[in-house]
Amino acid sequence: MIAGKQLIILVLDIALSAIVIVAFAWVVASTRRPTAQSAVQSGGYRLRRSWGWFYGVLLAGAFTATIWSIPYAWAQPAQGSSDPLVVHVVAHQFSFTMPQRLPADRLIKFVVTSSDVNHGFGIYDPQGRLLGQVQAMPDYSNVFYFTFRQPGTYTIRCMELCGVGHSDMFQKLAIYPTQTGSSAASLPGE
Amino acid sequence: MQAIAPEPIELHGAEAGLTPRRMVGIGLVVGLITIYGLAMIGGTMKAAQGNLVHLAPQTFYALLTLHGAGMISVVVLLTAVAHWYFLRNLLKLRVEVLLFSVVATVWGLLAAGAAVLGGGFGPGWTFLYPLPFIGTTWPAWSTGLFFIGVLFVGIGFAIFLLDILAGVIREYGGILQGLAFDTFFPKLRRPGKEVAPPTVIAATMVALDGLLTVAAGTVLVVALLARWASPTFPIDPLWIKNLTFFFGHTIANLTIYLSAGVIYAVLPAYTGRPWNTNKIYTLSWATSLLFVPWAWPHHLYMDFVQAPWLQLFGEASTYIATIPSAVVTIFGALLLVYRSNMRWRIGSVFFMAGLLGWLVGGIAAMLDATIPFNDVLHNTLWVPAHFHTYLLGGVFLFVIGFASYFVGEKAPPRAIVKVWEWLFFIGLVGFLLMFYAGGIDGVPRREATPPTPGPQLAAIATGFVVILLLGMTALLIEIWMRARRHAITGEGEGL
Amino acid sequence: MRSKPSFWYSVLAVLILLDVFGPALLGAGDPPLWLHHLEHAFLLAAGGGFGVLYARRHPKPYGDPGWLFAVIGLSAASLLLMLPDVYGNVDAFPVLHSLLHLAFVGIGYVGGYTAERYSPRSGVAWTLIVVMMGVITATGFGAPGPHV
Repeated sequence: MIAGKQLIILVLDIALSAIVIVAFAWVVASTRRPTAQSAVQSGGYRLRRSWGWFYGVLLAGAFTATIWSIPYAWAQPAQGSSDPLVVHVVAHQFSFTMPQRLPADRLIKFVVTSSDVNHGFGIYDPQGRLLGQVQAMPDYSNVFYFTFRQPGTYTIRCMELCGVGHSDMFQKLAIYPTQTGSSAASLPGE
Repeated sequence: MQAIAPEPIELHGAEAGLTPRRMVGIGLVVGLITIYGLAMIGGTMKAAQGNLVHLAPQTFYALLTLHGAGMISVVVLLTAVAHWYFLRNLLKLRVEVLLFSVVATVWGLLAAGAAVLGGGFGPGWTFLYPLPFIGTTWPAWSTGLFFIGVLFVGIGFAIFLLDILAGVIREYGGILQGLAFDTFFPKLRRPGKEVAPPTVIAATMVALDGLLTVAAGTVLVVALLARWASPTFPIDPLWIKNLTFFFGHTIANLTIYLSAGVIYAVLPAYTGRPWNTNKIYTLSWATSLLFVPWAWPHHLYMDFVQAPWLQLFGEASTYIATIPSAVVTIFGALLLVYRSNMRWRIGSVFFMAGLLGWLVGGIAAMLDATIPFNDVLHNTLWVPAHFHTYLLGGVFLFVIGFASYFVGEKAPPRAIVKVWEWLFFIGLVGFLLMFYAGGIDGVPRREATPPTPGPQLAAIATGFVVILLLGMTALLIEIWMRARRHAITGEGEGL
Repeated sequence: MRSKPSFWYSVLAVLILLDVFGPALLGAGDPPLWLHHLEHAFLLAAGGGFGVLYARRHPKPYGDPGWLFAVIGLSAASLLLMLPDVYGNVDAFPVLHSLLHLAFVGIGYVGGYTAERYSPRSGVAWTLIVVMMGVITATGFGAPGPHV
């Protein structure tokens, strides 16, 4: 089932592509009633100016809107201060060294690195939807904050070609419900 | 392609019968045959992912490496040859230089091909350090041979670019004039010289950014060769990842700017309307020149240790780099075609379809280059979906369009050609849609045995690949037969 | 620079010689890696500059394509100097190291000269590309990762 961010992306992609396709079809159809270039050029230049301004404003708006929800720790100071559960992940050819069970509704600070080549660390929910990811790089530790909202069996999957066993590099992760009254329940929400 | 047409103006170095026209013909034939082979490899990989044929994982990743490295190199070669065809008169270029650069590229491809097919080298065409050296299933010689092959492709491209840059300086007096800054500062212009046409502006931008890319690519390959020769040679994985994508992203991106130079030259012929330079083109290409080389950080969004300013600047640069294409080149093309007496031939159909593929692929690319979307799109099939849209559904269509223009198409095509075109486009769109569907479903890219629904989508995509290849074969035979006919009648390029 | 070019050439030459032989004579330690890369870029650029100027004694609008092939072949061959087996062995001996630096000036000179013979200002373009490569190497060529 397509939901969440993927749904937004799909709708945006289809809508924008459809506008472009219609514009092309319209221009192609217009060649059935040809006219002199001078008859269309000045109008076209005016349209180009409006389109240029519109597109520029659109991009500036998209940039401003998106930089508020980037996943990096430096951009999410509230997460760093809220007592997360620290989980170390080491990726190898072709497995992850990490806990097999983690609590739901608890902010988790994944510290992800690799012992050999570049790997990825992608989190898939029980329905198989990709929820987020980070790269696992040798020599560096990537800090990735994440909260599992639903208990269930998740899948961790490598997202970077890492060698001959890349396709087999995935493992299950059990997310168990947090009991009410535990310390996790008192964590501030995001 | 012998003696296709009488050469109107003979410029330089046409000794030994190597006319510029024949050289371009050779380049097209060599490039298209290579693309054929690599497309077959692509189809085989799809069939393997769809469980229709069996490939061992190491074979799959080796073929993946060859498909990627080969396609990028050959698409650079084809667009460069096509652009050169129009530049040769404007810049008085020499045919021997193009020959040398094509030969170097072919040697590089052969070396890389030997490393992959003979040795099984298979870390993907981005050969992200340290994968070529750790946990390998291939012998060390194939690693070294592959990098030497990449170096040769780089040498071929560097010769091509340096020759163009020298030509621009010779003909227009300098780089600023090549970028048409004399539209703002008329004093720059050489006496008796016109402002540089858009084809030359595109060439100047590609030469400058291309040489920067080749410089970075050389440092990258030398570092990897150093590591190959001495295993203790230290490499910072984050540094080389940045360098890899600076090189890889920019060189793939430049093929569209080489194509733009061809579009500027060809569309006026089909529409019967001139395409002139003005201040907007100067600004537009200066923007491309400055921002295209800064788009690479969007490949490292999921490397959270990357410097924050690079992440944000990467997103901003990617956005800004689309403005010249969307507002000036593609809009300008549509304005040129709008209510023109467009003559619909294979060439014009493919150029228009290619412009559409460039835009649609660009939209998907921009969504992927938006940081909060990238965490569910990065390294999923969405990535090959968008770059196949603008390379196969964009740049390659320009190549076919150029081939058709090159052999000459005064007469409208036979009725049956419509069928071939439909086959081609149905195959293309179906193939691409399966990629997008996989991407939105979170199926990772570069998987020998992808998770569900990867295999199902790959099996359907294989069917579309067959349709695509049928249409492509028929169209190329059509163009080839026309070339043979025109060799007899003496009909030349264009309409 | 217009009035007394020979004066400035001499200044450049002295700078090159100081840079090449100074450290060995003074017994100074190695500079940081990035600075060392930039130093190579400077030596190549200085050599390239001399090469361009010398080539301009043969004013010709468009030289033989052989010059272009020579430039590229020479540039590719000089990459061998960057391989650690070559560089590492030389690095251990200060005088050899100085001579290697002089070789960079030589490569720059021949590259700038041949490129400029091909077409006006190609030598300048070639020199700038080489400097660019030097700047790119200075961002981290030969430097290890942080091992976190």
